[in-house]
Amino acid sequence: MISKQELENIALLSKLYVPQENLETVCRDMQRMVDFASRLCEAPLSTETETDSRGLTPLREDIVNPSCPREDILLNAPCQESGCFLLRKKV
Amino acid sequence: MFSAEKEGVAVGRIYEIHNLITKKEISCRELTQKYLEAVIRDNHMLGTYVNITAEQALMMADEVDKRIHSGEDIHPLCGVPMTLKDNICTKGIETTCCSQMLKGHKPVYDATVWQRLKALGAVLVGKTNMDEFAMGNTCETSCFGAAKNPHDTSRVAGGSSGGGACAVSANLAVYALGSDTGGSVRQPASFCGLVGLKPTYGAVSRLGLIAYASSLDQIGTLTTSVEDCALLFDSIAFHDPLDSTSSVSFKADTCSSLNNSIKGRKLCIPQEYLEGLSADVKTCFEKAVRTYEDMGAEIEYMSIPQLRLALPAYYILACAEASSNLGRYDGVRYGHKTDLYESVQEMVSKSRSEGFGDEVKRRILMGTYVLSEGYVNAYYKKAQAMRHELAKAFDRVFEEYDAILTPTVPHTAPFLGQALTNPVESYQSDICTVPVNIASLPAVSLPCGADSHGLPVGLQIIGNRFCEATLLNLAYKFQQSGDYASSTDWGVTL
Repeated sequence: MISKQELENIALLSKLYVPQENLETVCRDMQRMVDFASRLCEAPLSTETETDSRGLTPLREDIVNPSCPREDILLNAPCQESGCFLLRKKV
Repeated sequence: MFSAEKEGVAVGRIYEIHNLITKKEISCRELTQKYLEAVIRDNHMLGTYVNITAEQALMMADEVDKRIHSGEDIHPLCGVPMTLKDNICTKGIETTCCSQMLKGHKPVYDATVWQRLKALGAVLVGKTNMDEFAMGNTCETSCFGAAKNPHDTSRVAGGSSGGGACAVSANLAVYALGSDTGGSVRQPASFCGLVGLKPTYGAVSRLGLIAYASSLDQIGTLTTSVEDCALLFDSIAFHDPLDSTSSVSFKADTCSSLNNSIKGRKLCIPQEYLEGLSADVKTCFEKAVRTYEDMGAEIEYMSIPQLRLALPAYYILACAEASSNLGRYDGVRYGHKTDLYESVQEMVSKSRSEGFGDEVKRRILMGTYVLSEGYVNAYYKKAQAMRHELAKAFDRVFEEYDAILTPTVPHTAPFLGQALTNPVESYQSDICTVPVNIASLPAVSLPCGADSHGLPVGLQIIGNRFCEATLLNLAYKFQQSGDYASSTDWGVTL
């Protein structure tokens, strides 16, 4: 069973905040998903990595090409200043 | 000339529209206005569009009219009103993945598919509804509310590309592009009575498709006929050097072989796909199989035991990739940012927790869990091994057979709200569609009948990698064998 402590650790790694009052519900939902996925654990499968030889991902030439202009990249930033993403000073 | 008659290809709805505007029976502006009026009238009842791009659509239509009047020989897709799923980037047009996280987000570049269609003269009516970040199979996790099924508005349109399927089925667009990570094009196509193609992984560029699970995601098409599907696929499948997974050698040509004889084609039906079917779906599927036999195809029943573990493997892989892909939403570069915070760490966590919906958070947590120390071998690596085994099993099948026949979904469209009560249970509904994404294969869903409530039932044809021509040939011959099209009373009448 996934404990509340375990869920809090996973949430921390996921950069998600789970309010105390929701911990039980989220634990239950997670347990259902883990139970669902656990059917695979019983299967006699080797976890040795095999290379996929179908070769669908050839590398392209290492040539520098123009990318998005800085102004465009900043268009969707919640806060920006002087051409940079802005974060409130906390240190 | 791009006239259908001259090309000798089948004439679908896109060609009908093409002929109307090239013969000047209606101008592209008038046609676009008709679609926009219908969208504005019907959208609040169906929840199809989340962004109607009226001004831009009319500008594009005027451009097409100019080209026609100047005597230019236009492409069949030129001037045809269409839609894009809200996870396909459109420069300067809000693209949100139907998430609070991306409300107000305007991409700074076009997805490759949209760049191509725009160049061909496509008229974008708007962006369509979807499950948040494509995570869902009923379109109910959208922050805009659900898209409804035009055949019965108390039922779901399917998901995650439910808005696009709803738009095409309700005559609010001629065709739609969606994305398919585990069935998100084929399942709504099945529920709404459409043709939905999930191409081979690498056949269509994913540049500009906002990622859910990158090794499984693929842009796909929603149309009312197989010939429209073929035309659209041939137009958007090409090598894109900016997508490293895009195939260099594949050349799409499905239109020219649509009408080939299928006599002697070897088709198989793995028994694992026939478990848990509703009675109506079973009846329609068996009838479809008999139709293929009547057309001279050879059918054999067989088994692919690995299919039984495809669903858990899929959800492990998809969640793992989602947890990584969605790590980019930190409230700094784009997306929702919380107002109140004490530290940067808290700012990121609160922004993400406020911006993402419940299903997305569930999948991120699950993805982090299966990738974390102590569980990665038991879950993620096992799922990767399963993926490899399944791909090899399919390879063996295609050494002997041309295609696989299955139902697309074990049942017809459920009522709204049904899936939300137990999300994990609703994952079961993807049982016939996810193996295709796991093995990078192409598959098409097409209508093959209706249940006792008149709701469409879908037939799925799965092919070998890059064998879309075989798939669509088989689909077209089936479509020609009977009247499987299902119409609705919504939208535009021409």
